[in-house]
Amino acid sequence: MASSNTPKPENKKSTKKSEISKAEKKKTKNAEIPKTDGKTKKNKEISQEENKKKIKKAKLSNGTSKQRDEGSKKGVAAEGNGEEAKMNVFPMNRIRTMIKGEDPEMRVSQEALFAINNTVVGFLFLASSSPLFRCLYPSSFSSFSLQEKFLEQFTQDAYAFCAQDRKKCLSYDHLAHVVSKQRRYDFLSDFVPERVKAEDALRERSAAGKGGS
Amino acid sequence: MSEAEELPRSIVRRVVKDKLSRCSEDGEISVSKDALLAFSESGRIFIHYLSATANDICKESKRQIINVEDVFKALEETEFPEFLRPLKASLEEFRKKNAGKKAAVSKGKDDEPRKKRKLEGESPDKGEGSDKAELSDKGEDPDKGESDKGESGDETNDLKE
Repeated sequence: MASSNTPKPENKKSTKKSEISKAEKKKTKNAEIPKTDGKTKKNKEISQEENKKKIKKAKLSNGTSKQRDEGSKKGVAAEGNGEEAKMNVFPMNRIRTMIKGEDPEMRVSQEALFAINNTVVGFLFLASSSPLFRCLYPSSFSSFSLQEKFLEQFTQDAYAFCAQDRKKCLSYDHLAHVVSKQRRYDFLSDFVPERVKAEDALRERSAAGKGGS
Repeated sequence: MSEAEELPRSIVRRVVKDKLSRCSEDGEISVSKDALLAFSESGRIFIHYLSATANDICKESKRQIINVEDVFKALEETEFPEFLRPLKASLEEFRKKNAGKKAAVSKGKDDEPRKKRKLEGESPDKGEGSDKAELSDKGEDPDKGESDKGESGDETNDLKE
């Protein structure tokens, strides 16, 4: 039904999404049971393909983001709460659905829903600033209590680093490192784990097996 | 339903890019696809974490509807107290605008059926997200998986209607 109804570009996107999901499945499988060197080579090839796909998807995502923005704007207009929508970055019903997905009997007042909505925005702001420091200042990222001072220093040093060929791409490793190092993000440790080599994972597995036996 | 369980990617990207552009003045810093996915997933887990903590506080007080005070206490418990000040300020603005909109309550009621129609219109997108739902189901606990299945049943009913 969905495939027949959706136009061609959406079909392409869906196929690419399925490819992404397949790649992710492969990742999980490889992480669980990687044994031979051949698989490691395959992993490298997969990563290269994923890089290419990422580039393509970046272009497509721009288009999709525009469409989604238009959709969100239409929704806002239909709701007739333009002022309220400007204050709420994420759709209120979406957040309510997410909360009820956890426990259907949970009831949340409108003000509490608004508070959670704004808190998520602040959380993403906070979560994105730490990986940025990690990305640009790997050696000086040892003290988290001086985060604001780092921010000031970073702003001042931005021009100094402008001439250097520093990486300007915030990647998963930076985020995973912050999650593993900072205690307040412990609740994310299961969902944003640091990437581990297959050999280390196998060793841990064998150790666990010995413990079990 | 699967996509309804995720934060909109475009908005997550916008929020993260806005923050990064403020931090750096020497041009834009790009965010990799994996990092953006991790941010979206982190935001989702944060919502569940915060709402579960607020729910516990609400139950302790023997109430059944989570209110703003429960959310504030939950923020303190989860070690994010720096969000309280800006949150209270924006909440006061929210309340003022709500007071101003009391006259428009009837309009809001009229808008509800429109929302339902749009939700129905969004169903094909949800179909596209089924693969992601499967992945998330595998990652989650069996109990959550069961709850997701129940929700999918509701989805089919909605589609039939």
